[in-house]
Amino acid sequence: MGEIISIDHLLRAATALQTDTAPWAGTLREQGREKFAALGIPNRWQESWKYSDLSQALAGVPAGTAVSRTLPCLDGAYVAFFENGVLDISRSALPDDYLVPLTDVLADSGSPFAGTIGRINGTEQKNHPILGLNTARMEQGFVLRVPKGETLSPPLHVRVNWTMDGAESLDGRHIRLLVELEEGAEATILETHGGTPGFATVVTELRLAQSAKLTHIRIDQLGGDARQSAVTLGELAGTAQYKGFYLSEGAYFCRHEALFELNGEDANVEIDGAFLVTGNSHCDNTTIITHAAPHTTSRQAFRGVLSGASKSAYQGCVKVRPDAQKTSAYQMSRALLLSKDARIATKPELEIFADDVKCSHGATAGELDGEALFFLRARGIPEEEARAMLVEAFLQEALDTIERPDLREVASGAVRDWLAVHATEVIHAG
Amino acid sequence: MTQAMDTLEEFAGQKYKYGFVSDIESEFAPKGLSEEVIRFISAKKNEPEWMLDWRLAAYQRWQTMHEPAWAKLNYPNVDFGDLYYYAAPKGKEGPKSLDEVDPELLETYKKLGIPLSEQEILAGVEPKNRVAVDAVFDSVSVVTTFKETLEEAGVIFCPISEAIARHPDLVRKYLGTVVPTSDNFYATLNSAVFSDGSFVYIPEGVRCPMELSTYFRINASNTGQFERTLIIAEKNSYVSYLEGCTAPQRDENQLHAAVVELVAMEGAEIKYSTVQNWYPGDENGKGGIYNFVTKRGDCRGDNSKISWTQVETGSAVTWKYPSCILRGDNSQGEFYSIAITNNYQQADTGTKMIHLGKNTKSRIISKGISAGHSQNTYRGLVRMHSKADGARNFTQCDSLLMGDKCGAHTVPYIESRNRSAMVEHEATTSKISEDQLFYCLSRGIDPEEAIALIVNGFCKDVLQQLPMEFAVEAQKLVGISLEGSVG
Repeated sequence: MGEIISIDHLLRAATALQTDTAPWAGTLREQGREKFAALGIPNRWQESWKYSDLSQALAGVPAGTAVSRTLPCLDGAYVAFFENGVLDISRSALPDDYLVPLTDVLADSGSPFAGTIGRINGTEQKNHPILGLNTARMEQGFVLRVPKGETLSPPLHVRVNWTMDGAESLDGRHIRLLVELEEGAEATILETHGGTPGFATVVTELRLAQSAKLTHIRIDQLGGDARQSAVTLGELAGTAQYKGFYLSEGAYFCRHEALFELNGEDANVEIDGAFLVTGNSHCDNTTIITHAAPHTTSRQAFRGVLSGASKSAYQGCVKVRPDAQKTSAYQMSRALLLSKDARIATKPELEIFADDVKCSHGATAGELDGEALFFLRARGIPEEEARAMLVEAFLQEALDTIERPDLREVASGAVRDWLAVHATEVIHAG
Repeated sequence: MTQAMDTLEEFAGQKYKYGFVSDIESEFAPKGLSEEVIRFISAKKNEPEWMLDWRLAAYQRWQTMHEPAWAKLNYPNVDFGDLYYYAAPKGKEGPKSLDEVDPELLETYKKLGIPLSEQEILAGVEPKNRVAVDAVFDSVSVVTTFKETLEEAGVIFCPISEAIARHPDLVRKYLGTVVPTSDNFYATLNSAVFSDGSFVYIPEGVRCPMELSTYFRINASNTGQFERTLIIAEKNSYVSYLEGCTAPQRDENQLHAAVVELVAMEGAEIKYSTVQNWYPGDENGKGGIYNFVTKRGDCRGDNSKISWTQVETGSAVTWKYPSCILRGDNSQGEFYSIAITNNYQQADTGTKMIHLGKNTKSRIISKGISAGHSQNTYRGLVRMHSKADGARNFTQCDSLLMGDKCGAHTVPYIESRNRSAMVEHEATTSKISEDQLFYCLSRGIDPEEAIALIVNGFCKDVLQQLPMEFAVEAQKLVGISLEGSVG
């Protein structure tokens, strides 16, 4: 049993931050402290954390199921390399024209980002404990700004890797990223998380100005003992486009929230996701898409492959504000349960205050289709192979939504890798 | 459309036709809630000691509980100390026949369109279509018809207070086994103070010869109604039960916190239909009933079936989740619901399907319609337990929005712990299709009628599940509830 992790414990290190901070950053951190102290460590009695009890996860002792994996790499890309929560410039290839390390931003009393950090999608930030904690202790990270009309090329690969012992970082390591795309700017970002943090929070704030376009691939390949709570916050102006793909393998505690607000007409958010979870892992995908302007559209589709005694959750919420007429929102969640002990909780929520809208959601959970299996076996394909084929096909539909071939290959590679490592769980109905 | 609106506004005052108050002298328990009041209620009913203890235990529990706040409902706190927990029409104790019932009371039920008088029914309707009625007025059951016919078949249908006196073993065996006294804030309150309701017992192998029906009426002001219904269907029996509710038009909010428990043994089937038309408050959101109801059915035996059908048009606030616990293998649960909110009404309603047994099936069809400034939420849970091999669920919840001031929300929880269980859920939210509306209008159908037509079409899947007598009434109700929502 490790030490008891308390609110104080998690906040204490905040006073020991190393860098000089500008007054605005100090105030911001103080607000974060207050927020976290008031809200506390989230537990299952809070509605949004019903299926992800962080308080319990911090008190628990993981079983020690570290699997070493080759983490994906994107050839020719810019790289922001984080080792144990610290931006390692020597191992990075940063787009210097666009990117400033967070430590520099926080120390700059006249920083142009002073009014942006901690302000993206403010409604959802307001009562969010992880945002409070992360803001209180943020130090490492970066700010990326792509000026009007420009395109970040090649893409940026944000590699977050943890090599330190989990127990060492149980008091929390916090990364903060801010991405601002000015009018008409475009960027592609690949975010990968590997290793075993004792407890990490990663907050990514995204601001997309008029007509900006962001492609965002997130891959969580954490070790089985890792605890991570990540939040992606986004704000989109008119005709801006966000296209996200989230792949997660779960961990001892693994949660990612995508909280977006569509503020301008014709803004569009599309999120596809896949989660592959086995063993005793936990995986939580939570989304809140707020349609705050007319003619906005969103689409979400998540697919889960669950085996072992894993516990997964998908909570997707679509909110339509009163003036957001002509909104169109679609949400789909499909879960494949491969073992008798795997669990899935799905909560596709609609909260609608405008009448001229088209919103729909669908959710299914079940095992592999017996008829499809029979079809393949009747053609002489052994059962194990047939099962693997069906699982791959199920995931392929999600992977196909990634437009760039190199990124699709990275994600497909991660999926193939997972399927190879966990072949036994997948092909044998346990 | 403005023309239609004008006509409607003229009739606005008459919209809730059950809003009258009957001038009937009532006997009240002292205001507020205390052990004395509970003892008073229990004594009024000549209850045995165990029943009083049961109530007191619930009361003690209730004092430690808090009002739930998770629903998407917004209403001022209810002052539980400022209510009458017992009100009974004054009169002779226990009328033996209809002749002994206060004529004013009979008149009230006549206005409500409830054919209480046996002769009336006998004259007009074929015996097999007869409906046995238990009428609950404020806190007591006034009259139950057709007792003899039912007794011949072995069916017990009587006020629960009478059942406690005459069939204590049965009541004791089942009361609180589906909704325990500790279940939730309102159910616990009900357990402490419930004053009447219906008791139904269908013996093994019996198909109840007629529809059973209860009409609830809150008449006295400042009164909470807490009725308790217990229905037990023994092996291979069948019963269809209807429930209707109305209340006078009053400016203050009235409280209704009922508990309904259903027990279906092996091969039994219970069909429970509700047309809830409590006073919804006026167009400014003043007055109306707060409806906090716990309804739950337990499919205790294999191959049993429980089906809930509800048409929710009334109440200022509705908090209601009729549920099924599918314990027996191959048991089935169904939930068909129409919830219509207009003006400032708020409804947070849905169901829970808890699959415990093998090959259990459930089906949820929910249609929510919001108009005016109302808020309508579907909240549901489907849970597949690890032993529910081969279980199936299908859920469909559709919402229709009329006007840009209202809200429609869907909050389904889907939890599966069994891979062979299949869960399917789909939901849509949209407004009335302009194409459909145009089609009707261009054929000379006026807007109100066209909307009623389209909405009835939208609700068809649920309306079809209602027994004949109710289906017609419900269809009309759908039209009336939406009056004034066009534009």
